[in-house]
Amino acid sequence: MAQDRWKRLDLPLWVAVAVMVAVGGLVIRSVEARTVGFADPQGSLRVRYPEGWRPVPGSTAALDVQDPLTGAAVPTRLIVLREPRAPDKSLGQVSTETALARSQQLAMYRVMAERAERVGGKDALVIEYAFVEDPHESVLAAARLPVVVRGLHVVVFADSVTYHIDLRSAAVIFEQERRQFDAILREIQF
Amino acid sequence: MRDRGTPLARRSIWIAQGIAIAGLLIYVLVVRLLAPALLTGGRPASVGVGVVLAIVPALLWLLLFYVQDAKEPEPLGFVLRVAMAGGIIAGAVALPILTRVPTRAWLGAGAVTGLIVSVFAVGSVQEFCKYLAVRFTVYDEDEFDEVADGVTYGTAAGIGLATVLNLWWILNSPSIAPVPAALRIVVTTLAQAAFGGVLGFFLGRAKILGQQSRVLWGFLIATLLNGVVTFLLREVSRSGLTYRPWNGLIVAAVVAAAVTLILFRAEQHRAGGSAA
Repeated sequence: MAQDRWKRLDLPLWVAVAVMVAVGGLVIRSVEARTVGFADPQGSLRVRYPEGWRPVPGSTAALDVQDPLTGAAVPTRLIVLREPRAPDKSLGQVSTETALARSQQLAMYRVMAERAERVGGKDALVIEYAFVEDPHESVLAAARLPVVVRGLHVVVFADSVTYHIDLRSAAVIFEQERRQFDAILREIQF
Repeated sequence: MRDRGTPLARRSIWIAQGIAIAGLLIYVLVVRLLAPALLTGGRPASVGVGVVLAIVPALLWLLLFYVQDAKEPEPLGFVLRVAMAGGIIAGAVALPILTRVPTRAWLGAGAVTGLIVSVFAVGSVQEFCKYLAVRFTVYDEDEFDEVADGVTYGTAAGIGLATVLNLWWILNSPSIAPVPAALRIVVTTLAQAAFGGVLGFFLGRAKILGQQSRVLWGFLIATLLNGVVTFLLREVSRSGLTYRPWNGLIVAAVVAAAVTLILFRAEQHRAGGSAA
């Protein structure tokens, strides 16, 4: 009797769940794999970011896109800044100057760590940083409590250009976003 | 001979459903009235307040069920057992899966994709948890002796699952604004209870009427309803980047009331047919 019940009641349902979760997983995978490409018209940088990310209105950066649907109090963001390369400055000098400048611009800016890496086949310096900013206006459950933002700031030379590639998110979801940030950095080409 | 599954002896269970829906709406209004006291000095509410906000709807719903379902109350221990099983299974099975669903990726991918993921990856997992909670706690018990009992137990499983989802959300929120938080909690509770009721109805029919193969259809209907309503709630609760939680409450209340009414009429129709 128990075996009959298993066959008629339980088994079809377990199979249905397995099929549905597999189909759902495949759809998610295919969506996650969808990215949009950006090629800098005034430089050699090429970067890919998730399809759902939207341009930040009014930004003057070479590329400035955000993902406002994370549920966090500030959107996750990718900013690419381009500036002419000063031939007499090393990556270390540029990153130090950048950190100093940012400490003037961003509230409670802190450099958490700095390390050398290869990005797009070139030497780069990655600065892990944090600062505090106001929450996005109407995000779910966001009172006007300041939000800690964490980010990765990549400084890299490409020919006559210095690129600043900035990936940031609310600190509470930073570790979760990190996987995505690493994927974006891996896809960078020059 | 007793007519098993007749709704006439258990009309109170349907009244309890209706009162519970009204009670949750009143709960939101009470939180709205108390909100200034919960926000000391304009700061967000504490996590402790958030946890209380998340647990009260479950207690309210279970209490109303127990008090109202007075003619032949289900043993409170059974109802609690199913609710706790729903919560534990949600924490063990649903949360690890659902937190890996990158919602923003498929939200940005268009309505059709969002709907497919909502039904297949979210709805199916949640309804499966409720099925497990009912099937492996009270399904084989003698106390489960009417179709309407399935609705009670399915609803209890939904309440347990909703409570764990709400607690998880509260504990992972950067800050808690009491009214939006209460709205979200009540919307989740209403919706999950309603979907659980649908699944429980079919489990009740399987147990009492021997319609075991129809449980699959019940699961598919509950899953579809779960996915579509979850998707709809997300759509109506946002206008651009603005969060509009009251819209979600209206949708959830209408869905819960409609599900209760439809199940009641279906059971009334069935009992009428069997009596004839």
